[in-house]
Amino acid sequence: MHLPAQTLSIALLLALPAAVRAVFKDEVGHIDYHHELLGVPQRETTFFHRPRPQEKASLLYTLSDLGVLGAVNPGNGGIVWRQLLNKNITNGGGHLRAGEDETWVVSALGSSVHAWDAISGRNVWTLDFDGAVKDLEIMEMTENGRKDVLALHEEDGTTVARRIHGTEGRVVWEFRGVTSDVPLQVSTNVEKVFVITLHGSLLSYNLKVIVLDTLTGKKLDEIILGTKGEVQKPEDVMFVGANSAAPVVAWTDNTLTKLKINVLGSKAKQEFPLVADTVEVEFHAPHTVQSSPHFLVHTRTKTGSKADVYHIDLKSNAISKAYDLPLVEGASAFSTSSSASNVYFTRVTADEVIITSSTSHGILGRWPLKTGAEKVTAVHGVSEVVKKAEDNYAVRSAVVTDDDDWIQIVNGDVSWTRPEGLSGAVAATWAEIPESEDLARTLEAEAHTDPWSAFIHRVTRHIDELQYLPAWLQTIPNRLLASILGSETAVSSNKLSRDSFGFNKLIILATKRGKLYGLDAGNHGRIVWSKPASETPGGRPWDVKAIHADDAKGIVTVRGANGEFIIVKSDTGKTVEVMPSGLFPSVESAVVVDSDAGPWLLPIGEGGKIAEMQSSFAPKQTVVTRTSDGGIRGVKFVTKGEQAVEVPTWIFNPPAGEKIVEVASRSKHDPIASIGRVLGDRTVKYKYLNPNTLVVAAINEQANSLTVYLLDTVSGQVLTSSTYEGVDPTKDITCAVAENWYLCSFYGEYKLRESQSQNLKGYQIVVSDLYESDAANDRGPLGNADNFSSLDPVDLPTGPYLPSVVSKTFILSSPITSFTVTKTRQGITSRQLLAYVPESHSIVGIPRMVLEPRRPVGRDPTPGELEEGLTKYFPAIELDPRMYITHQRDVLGVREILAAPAALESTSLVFAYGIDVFGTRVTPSMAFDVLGKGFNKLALVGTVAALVGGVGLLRPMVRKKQIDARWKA
Amino acid sequence: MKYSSLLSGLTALALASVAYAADRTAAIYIQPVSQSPSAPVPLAEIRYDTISPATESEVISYEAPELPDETKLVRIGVYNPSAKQWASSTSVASVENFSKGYSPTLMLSLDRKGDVFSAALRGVRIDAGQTRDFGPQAVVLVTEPGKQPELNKPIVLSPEGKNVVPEEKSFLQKYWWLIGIVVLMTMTGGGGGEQGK
Repeated sequence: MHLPAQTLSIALLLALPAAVRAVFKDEVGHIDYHHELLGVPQRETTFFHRPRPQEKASLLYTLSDLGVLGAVNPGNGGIVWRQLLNKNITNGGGHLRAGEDETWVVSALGSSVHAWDAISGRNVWTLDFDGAVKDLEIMEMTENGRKDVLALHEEDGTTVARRIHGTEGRVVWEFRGVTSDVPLQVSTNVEKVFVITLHGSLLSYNLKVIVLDTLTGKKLDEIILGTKGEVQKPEDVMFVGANSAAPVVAWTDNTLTKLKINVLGSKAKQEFPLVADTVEVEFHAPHTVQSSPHFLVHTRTKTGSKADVYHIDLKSNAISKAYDLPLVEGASAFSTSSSASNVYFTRVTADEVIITSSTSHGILGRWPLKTGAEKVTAVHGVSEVVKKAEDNYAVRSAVVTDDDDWIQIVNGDVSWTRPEGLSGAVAATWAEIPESEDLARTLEAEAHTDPWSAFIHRVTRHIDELQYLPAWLQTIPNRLLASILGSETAVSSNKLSRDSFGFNKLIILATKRGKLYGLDAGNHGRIVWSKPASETPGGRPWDVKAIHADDAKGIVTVRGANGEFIIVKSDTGKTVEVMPSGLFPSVESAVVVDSDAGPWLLPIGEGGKIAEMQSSFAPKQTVVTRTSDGGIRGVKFVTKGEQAVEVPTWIFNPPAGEKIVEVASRSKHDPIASIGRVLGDRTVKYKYLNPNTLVVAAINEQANSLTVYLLDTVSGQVLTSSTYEGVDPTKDITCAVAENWYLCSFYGEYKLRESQSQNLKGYQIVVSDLYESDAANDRGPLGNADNFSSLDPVDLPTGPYLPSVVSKTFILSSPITSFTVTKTRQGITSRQLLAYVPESHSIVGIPRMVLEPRRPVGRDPTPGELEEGLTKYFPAIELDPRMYITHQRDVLGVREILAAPAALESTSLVFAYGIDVFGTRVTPSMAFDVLGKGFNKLALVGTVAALVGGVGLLRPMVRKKQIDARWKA
Repeated sequence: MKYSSLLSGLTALALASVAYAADRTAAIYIQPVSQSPSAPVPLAEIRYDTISPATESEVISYEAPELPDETKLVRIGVYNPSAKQWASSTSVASVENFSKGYSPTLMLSLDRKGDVFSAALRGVRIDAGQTRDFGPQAVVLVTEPGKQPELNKPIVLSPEGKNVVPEEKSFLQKYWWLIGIVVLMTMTGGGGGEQGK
């Protein structure tokens, strides 16, 4: 067989990328996990919509409380596309609408209006206006068959309504109100456009309905509806319908006993009584023109909820009550679904799903709710009713529960659950899985008794433990088999236990909605426990100032801004202690300090105030706080009898005109493997390893300059400082410190000092290394000293102890934020800078080798430098996708990245939170101490077994042959 | 045509040197760190030059502090006695720094304008065999201009968009001085040859 060499090589070349892909693919999804989240869907901005009119399939669209717009596949609950609307996490609000049979959805948040392709999520058009968006509506029927968008803005107190071309995104007409009313909503009923405003003064508003011409936007009429002080603020108007044949506006009286409804365009209002103990009223009406003008009023009482269905007579505009759905204990969620002129109402209660038609009270379908052991409390939802046969219906409802989960119920069965409550996290920490307390206690007891009784105790303990031996022996074959087949890591048990690699750790997450979660990092971020917002203290959104896990006690403390705190067990989430807000002074930050009573989270009040404390709790270290006038100060604690009081030691105030924007300090776990760097010529440069250093970045907004100071936190001395010109104060400035180096990133635009003709503009990162002296093999004033003091005099006749700084600046290809440096157990592994790339929704890991200030400039490295691993300096750092530790994943809105050491030296655990939750393991110096998943144990064992078998088989044959040969000889 | 700009640049430089060349002094005060501290007292006065602060600084006056016996830490900084507040950031040092055998070294941190924004003190052991100067020393730390990216030289394009290659100097332009030396040598060294005969 003659294969042409060329074909063979091409075939080989084609096979190569496949091999490379295979290397990467088996790690993705195995070591990392990602909860792709949207935020909790809001009632008004969630719906089912068919993205392509010719196809039957619909998607679920929502604009969440975080400002994330997304489409979800109702079949599996997976995300089809997502967009973060304001580039920042918002606190609720926003509008989202879709036109029936249109291929786009339109959203409004802040001041801008966007249209998005419904199936791909690509932007169709964007319009930015002045002022804030108040409402958004679709004009379902226009003079030329297309659908347009109505947007209502408030610009400096004036009401501005605009009609926007649906596909081209240009303003067709604009209406500007002349009076300073409060714009509320915009609505349309095919023939006319209604702008509803609040007219009058605060606490005694009347409703004003401005009727506009659909074609020109000219004002046709103005109707004032007297409300007799019942509408005091915009929120008091319950509902303004749109796109129905007869849109209504509704409000209640102040005591929630009567409901008042007006059909837009008419002057009459009708009153309906509400049930006793009503706490909340919600409206549900179809949003299509061809639907019957029916609507449902959902009344929540203190204990249960009921609903009334009303019909509007189109000729007389009279509203009449058709029927009601009975008062049922517990929460219910109602939703509307319409097909052609039929309107269906779906009710999801704690134990069943019921659908009724809007025309009669007869139940069309009823399914018991099968949610397993946990009861679902539906808060609100949307549904889609399908008529299969004459009296056979199917319904699917996407319901938001009070646990902040988003679940879909198909005919009573839960088809998927999205843990949207995990989104909007504000604080998180790593925690060790608590060891069995008994063992810890016995070990402690043994340590504290005399050696002989400790020995006896230990021997008896081991004899006692012999009873577990048979069970342990029984597991050996299984474990061996699993180890050989490589399946042991794939086993996902629901039991929390530590592993020998140290990958299994807990993550405690606090969200702005007041929920606490415990996640299992070793098991793909599985939710181990969650704590409802009702059990945590603090306001909403929860302003968490600090979170600290005490691994010795197995507890986690979360401190909020208003003095509230909660202490929970890290493995179960059980509350140990809780303190509501307001009882303690408000907290600016909190810091972990060592004291005689063990480490604890010291709360620091506003302006750096620290309350007196018991002397046993007095921090042993100098505590650094902010001052009320924008500086930084050091505080020492002095015991005075029972109490400990603070004594301010030093104060750092940046020069006049500068404002501190960023402070970074070394992490508590930052082990140093080597105190020096061996250079190519076998000399050593000693690292300046002062654990008490602080990097302070201060910006001068007049001069556009950034100054970075390095402070000694014990003495307050400024060790070094440098100023960068042309820095944009409005852009992010982030710093990080580790080992003997620190770095800061900023956006700068300036002329180069060395050649004025060269202009530079872009995101930059400055890396500075600190050494004990400029020269190698020299420790400067430190001599042979093992330790040093920041306060005491220098014992060698040289000079004060100051670091020698080597810096380099690099230009980054895109902005990066949320810095953290990887942490490993002993610090032998080289470090990586982990940062979030907001423009590509990824987390990048930049090796420290790249961010190396000693890289030679303008020449190739010498062989000695090459030996050190130095490469030629290149001013730009291209953040290329190979550096992304998130691979192709789209990680949205990362607020902070946390790193923690694993038991394996090579590995650092990474966890990122914000909107999404992402976790992975990184090995900056490659996984040198663990066999990869690609290592074929089976092949190894098989080879050894085959060799042993071969030897066993061949040995008698060879022996026989030898003996035969001797006989023959 | 460039004379005007050159001239203005020179004037600016001259003005700048006039404005900044003036020597400045900083009054360093000392205060014991305690819960109810006494008012700061003058410790030293330092003169420094804003043009070359690293070399041209000296201690004008120094007054060994008299501190209460229980004092362990002292606070150092530039003090404004009329406003009764610290005019700079402060730092702390132990009283050991004033012990016998150490010469106090005062460290001033200057910002880009030449103002002192922080002061610190550290005693450094005196090597009696080396020096007779046992007095206090002054060290001035200047805020360095931050490192800028080190770019390659820009490529200069001609109006046609082509690379401009700087004109090679001719052989004569490059080595005229060498030729000159050779000529000079031959002219002046003529007599030596006859001597060798």
